[in-house]
Amino acid sequence: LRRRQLQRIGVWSGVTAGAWLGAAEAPTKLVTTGLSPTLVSLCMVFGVFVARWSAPALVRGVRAVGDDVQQAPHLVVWAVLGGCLWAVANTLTVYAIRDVGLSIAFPLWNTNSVIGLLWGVLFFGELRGARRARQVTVVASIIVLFVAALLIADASATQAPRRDAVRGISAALAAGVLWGTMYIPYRKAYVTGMNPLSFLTFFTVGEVVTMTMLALSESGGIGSLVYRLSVARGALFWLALGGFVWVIGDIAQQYAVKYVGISRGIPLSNTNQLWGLLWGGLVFGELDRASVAARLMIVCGSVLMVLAAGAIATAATDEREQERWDETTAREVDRYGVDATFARTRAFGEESNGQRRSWVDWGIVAVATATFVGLAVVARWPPLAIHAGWLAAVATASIAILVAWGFALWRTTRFA
Amino acid sequence: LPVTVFTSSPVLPGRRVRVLRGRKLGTLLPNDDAGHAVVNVPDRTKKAIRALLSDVQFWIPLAALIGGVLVLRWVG
Repeated sequence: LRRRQLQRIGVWSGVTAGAWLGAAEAPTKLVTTGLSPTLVSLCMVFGVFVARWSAPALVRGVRAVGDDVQQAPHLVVWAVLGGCLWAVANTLTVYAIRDVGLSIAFPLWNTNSVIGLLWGVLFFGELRGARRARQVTVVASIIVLFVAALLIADASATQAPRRDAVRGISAALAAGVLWGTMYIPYRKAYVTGMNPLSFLTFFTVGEVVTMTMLALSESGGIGSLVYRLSVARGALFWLALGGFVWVIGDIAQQYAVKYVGISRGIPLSNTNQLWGLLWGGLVFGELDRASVAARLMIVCGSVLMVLAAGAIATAATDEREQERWDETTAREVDRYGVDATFARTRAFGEESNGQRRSWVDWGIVAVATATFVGLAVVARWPPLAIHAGWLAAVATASIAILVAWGFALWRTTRFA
Repeated sequence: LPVTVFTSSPVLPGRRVRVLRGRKLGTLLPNDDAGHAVVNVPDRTKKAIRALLSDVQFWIPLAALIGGVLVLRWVG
């Protein structure tokens, strides 16, 4: 019964991740300055960093994060490595969009679910021992999701001038490989019992250090970097907000990976394209001038995506596959000397949640809030037509999904 | 790393115990000559580094990261 509850919460986490990862694209649409791809990525990572420290402090408290690290200190290295992979992949996607446009780039980096599936099967016993029908369902759904992504991207993307096809395709594919490989650290953490919120606290250190190094290398020094950022200060809030929203989606994605594994969690999160389409098409009116054929392709792609996600959601792990998961946990516990009871109870979503918030936690939340307020004060609202009715509808739906998921997660696992 | 600790209640040798300072897990050894409890606290840092470097799963993301940075420098 407990396994079924965790499966359900994992599926729900994947759906919530899709909604909020898709919503993260909305604030970045308001950016019209000529920032370089690396600086766009750096500003987003800044928002990500603020969110990744304030959310765990608010939900669990910094002390709980410290307790987790005491139990499995090696996971700090894995978390930082995962963060480095994310930062490089995110920057690559910006270059890919610049060079070949979203319609080609998006489906290419969405191959991350195939790479993730490969590592899940090879290293973490996912789908192994499962009934053949479930294996076929998951693999076929991933292929259908890829086809749906192709259809939607091709029909909905604004055709940017293509600058360099070889470089753009290479960047998109490399991003897919990096994002797919990033799930090795994710899964590694969760089979060992690490709380997703603790993992993300260190994950973001890798992100921010990598992006700062890349930006410094591109700008040619700290003075030049600060100058370029100060020139574009009107856009910083929107990019940081995009990063903040993205983190909410990523937290849900982490719980999906924890409770349903890479092979199911990532394809569910990849439905973010559907939500990106809702934001772009309904709120920003990007499809107002689309042809009938393009709209038909979008509808077909969206229906396929929903069906494939639904199929994955129903292909739950069975007893034999769970045994393989337990074997993986035993292997990690043995290799890294982690307390077996800690790993097992955490894998079942059970942990004591008696930590009180300290002044450090409230201090972190206050600094994060002040940072965003400060950026908002100097932000510029770009001249962009927005359909207010649709904005209210899509935002309300996203928040409703988040609140319902958060409540269910708290009730089932107390955010474990 | 054997360390001497003072316990507020008797514990049996061989049991795993939690040392409050640093919250490390260790195994209780037979008492020393003065009657103090002795706990063997394994050096987890060294063990963890050894485990990490011998884990093939560590080298795959690292190789992917290096490859990604090289692609980034090429396209950038």
